[in-house]
Amino acid sequence: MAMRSESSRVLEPAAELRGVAKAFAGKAALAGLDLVLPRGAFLALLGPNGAGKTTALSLLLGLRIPDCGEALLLGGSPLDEDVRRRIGATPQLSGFPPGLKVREIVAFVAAHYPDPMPETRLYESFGLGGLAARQVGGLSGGEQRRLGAALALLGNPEVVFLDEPSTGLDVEARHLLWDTMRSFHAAGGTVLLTTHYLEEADALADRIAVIHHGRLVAEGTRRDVTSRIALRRVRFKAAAVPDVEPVARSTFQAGVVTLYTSDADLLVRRLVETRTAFSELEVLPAGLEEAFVSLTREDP
Amino acid sequence: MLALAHVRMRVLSLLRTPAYVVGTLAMPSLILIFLGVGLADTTAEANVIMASFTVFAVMGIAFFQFGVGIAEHRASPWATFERILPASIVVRLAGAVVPAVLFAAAAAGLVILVAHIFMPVALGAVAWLQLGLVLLAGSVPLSLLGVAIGYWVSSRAALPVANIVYLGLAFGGGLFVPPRLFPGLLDAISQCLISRHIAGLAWRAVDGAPWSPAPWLWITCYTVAGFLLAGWGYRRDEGERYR
Repeated sequence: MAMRSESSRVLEPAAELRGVAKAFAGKAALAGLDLVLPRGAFLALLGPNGAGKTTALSLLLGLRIPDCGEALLLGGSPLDEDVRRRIGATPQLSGFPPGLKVREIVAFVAAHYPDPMPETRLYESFGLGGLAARQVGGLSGGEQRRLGAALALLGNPEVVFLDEPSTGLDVEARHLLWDTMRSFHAAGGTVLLTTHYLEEADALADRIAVIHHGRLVAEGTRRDVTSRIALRRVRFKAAAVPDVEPVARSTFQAGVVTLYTSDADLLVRRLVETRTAFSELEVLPAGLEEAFVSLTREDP
Repeated sequence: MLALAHVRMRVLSLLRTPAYVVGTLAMPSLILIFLGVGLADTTAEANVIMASFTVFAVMGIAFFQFGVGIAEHRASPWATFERILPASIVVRLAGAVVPAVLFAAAAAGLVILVAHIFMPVALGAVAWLQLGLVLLAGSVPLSLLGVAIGYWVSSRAALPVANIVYLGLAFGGGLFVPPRLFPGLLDAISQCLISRHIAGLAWRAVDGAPWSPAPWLWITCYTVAGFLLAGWGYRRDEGERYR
């Protein structure tokens, strides 16, 4: 495992999108997206619903073909069977054939890989013990999610793709899943995770790529990106929008100024220093959507 | 072997669907018991009725396993997951075709069993072989028509559409009522149906009468048409969704 990360610098990236564009019924889902998933990285693909995350993932998994540009998986085509043997992905929630038992689904998926994880270890690490003989139709949403994540890791893959893995999971199940993904990553595995929760990206990933309207709007280390994204709203009444820094975006409506900022404390100090006349000052957290909008405006 | 895993998975999930087991596997035998058995006084009549119902059984598998099965599979997220798994087209095809052959053999086998219990059937070895050959050949265009339904019709509409086509072809083909009792117009329509020609070959097989080339030509034409329709539907659907 140590070998793998040692040699990662000379290997091709685990996954790569090169200038891919994809439109559905004339509506662009991705517009010239470049994305690199380096070997050994834990990358969170972050964006609001409809940003193009799932489309990007489906291109990397060979479920769709880009209109232009190129999708590469381990340096090869995502459609190549030999490449697919080295990756894992989660099925969508509640997508299991209902009549089958957990054990039967696990055996079916395991049959596709040369060196699958032993079943007992799989059940243990995903908290599926005791569920092996149950029919999937009777599993709770959380149990199905866990089974889905287990199937992604079942083939001992080099790269794992998780599409919104913790949607619908309770806190305990989410932390179990997070721990499993952390140890997979710590053992040298590469992970790409899509999410629209900043907290999830922040808790797990070492790199974050933000996409919005089918474009990459920010990419970098977790610390770098979260500091740009974790905006606060500073709201007050004033005659006009004051000229202060740092402000990512501002709005002015019916005498109310709203400033989006990465550092609310500094901004408020500046407001005082510049003797801006304001009243009813409030500092509020900003939603991710607002952060995405400001990022998009920053570098179009 | 990977193909075996695919076959096993499909067979298990079908067997665990009671609506499928009763509706497709057992239905032809049940209808035979309720409607067909009482009509057979002689061995010749019994043989013909049995032959009709084996065609009916194979047709059911073709329309429900391929037609409804594909339409439902298309709508299921599991199908998307299966596409990500490393498996060749041969393995995937085997996973669809082998279970259909197994279920068709089981459904027809049940009909033959019921026929032997309740009717005075008796067939020679050659007749059995010929009947088997007709069922095998007939299952090709029927399955392709089933695949076409699966790709052209939505998962919600697939069951009623498959039912209408299935029962329409069965009745129109003379599987329930002998075509000699059909009025002129119905008989003319019947002459154009694939089920009529498969049944015709099956009846001749059990009667020991020689085959004429015309029904084989019809089967060939329906195979080509079914192939084109299925291929077109496949390209239209998968081509759209996975492109």
